[in-house]
Amino acid sequence: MKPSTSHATPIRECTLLIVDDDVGFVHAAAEIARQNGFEITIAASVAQAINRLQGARFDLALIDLTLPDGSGMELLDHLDLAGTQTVLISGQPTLESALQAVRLKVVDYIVKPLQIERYTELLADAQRRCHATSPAASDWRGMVGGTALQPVRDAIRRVAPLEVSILIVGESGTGKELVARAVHEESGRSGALVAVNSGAVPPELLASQLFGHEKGSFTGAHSRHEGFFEQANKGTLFLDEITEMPLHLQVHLLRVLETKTVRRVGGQADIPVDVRLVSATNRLPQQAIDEGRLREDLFYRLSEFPLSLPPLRDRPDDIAMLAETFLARLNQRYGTRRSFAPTVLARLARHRWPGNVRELRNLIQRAYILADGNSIDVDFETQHPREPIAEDMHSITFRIGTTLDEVERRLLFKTLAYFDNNKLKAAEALGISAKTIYNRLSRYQDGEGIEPPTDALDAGKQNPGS
Amino acid sequence: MEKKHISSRGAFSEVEHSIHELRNGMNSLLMNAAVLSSRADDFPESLRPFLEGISRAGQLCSKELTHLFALIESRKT
Repeated sequence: MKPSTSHATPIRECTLLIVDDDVGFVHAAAEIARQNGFEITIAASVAQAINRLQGARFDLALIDLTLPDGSGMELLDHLDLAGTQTVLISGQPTLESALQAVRLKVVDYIVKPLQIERYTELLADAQRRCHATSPAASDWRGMVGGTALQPVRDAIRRVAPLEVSILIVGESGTGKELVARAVHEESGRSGALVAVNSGAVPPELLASQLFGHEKGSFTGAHSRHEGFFEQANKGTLFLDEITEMPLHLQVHLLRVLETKTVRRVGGQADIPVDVRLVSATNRLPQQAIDEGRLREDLFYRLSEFPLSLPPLRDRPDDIAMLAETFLARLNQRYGTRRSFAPTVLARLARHRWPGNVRELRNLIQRAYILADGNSIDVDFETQHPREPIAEDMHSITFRIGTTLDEVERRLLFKTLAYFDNNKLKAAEALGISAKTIYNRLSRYQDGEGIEPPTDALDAGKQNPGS
Repeated sequence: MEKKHISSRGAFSEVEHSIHELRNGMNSLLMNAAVLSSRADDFPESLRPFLEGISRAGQLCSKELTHLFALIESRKT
């Protein structure tokens, strides 16, 4: 079977308008842009430019202010400033023209000579916007991305209709649940998609949640309960953070997968289930096996088709596309027409994104909320520097500039949560005494510290069992 | 390089006009140098240092031009 390419759409060529009567500059600038994949249109006067602008749309317009028949400023009325990144270039850096440009919300204003680094940055910025709005910037089943994501999409389309289990491996925030949803939607299965975070359900409840229970099977089992497997019958069960599932439950899970039957807690009957299993982990599976977190026999059963999701830093071309998509969704939801300020996309592209797509989405949302007008700027320094930039059940990533006190506080609550509030185990893992943990908790509760993270509140509570 | 008409706001001083033309010239020089640098592989090995020389000299002139303009502006005030 050949890989499917029928869904791929060619990326459109990005367009550049250069308005300048200096032939030497124009030809050179056009050549550089051509090398970068742009389609070029040239005009040497205001009149020529107005003529070229009729019915045309440009991703980037480079306009000299001083033209033989007037000012390049006159062209601003003819340009779609929302869709065209417009740059005015002047050899006369007068304050008046700069101010006028700012008043007109021109994208950029540059005093000659245009430095090549700045020029290539402008081209790259325009290219990102251009590709973000091109048909290839597909939002296929919520999975936004260009060519780097195409192999994943192709794989989903091919494997979805087949009766094989899928193990998705990817860092936190890369969109593993979106992939599971896409698999389910493409599978044609008539049942529901049931998503479970194995690390978020208390271990003592996980068995009854997964497999169900009979009335009276344990204290609090007031009625019969159908577990996630039964709820996902003829559909798909998505088990996230599979390596966080207790080992004894992994044995039960393996049995369910082998027999295609499930037995409720406290029950006697084996109930047939027709469930497509998709599981996910942000750990390296082999490492999880070596560490004893994942049974090897279960791993082989879960990963009949392994699927790897690339981190955002490995798909830099998608960053602008994703940012524009998140902003477009916000604009659509709230009926606004906000757009990114100049250089925002270039700055986003330079960030490392340890929290992946989730981090980017949260950043855009915060920037949207904090924006004063229609222009959205992003300041990495002021984007809640105290907040961790990536966090899951067993790891936490901090931004440079987070205070040591804050790191200590977060790490303490995270570790307590990880060990189910067992302070002895947490102290051992942190290399401190249990007394130190109690002292810290007492200090935080006395108000010296700040509120514990919301997901760690339970961990901070006094637990009689710990 | 007599290139453009004088602004309708009034005549430039001779110095300002020269600076303007110098900026246009530098603009063209730097961009042409960048094209040559992007095609450096097409040039014989022996000529490549000269390509780098053009770019380097262009950058230096550009920096000095900015400095010169700042000096002239400071004299005005």
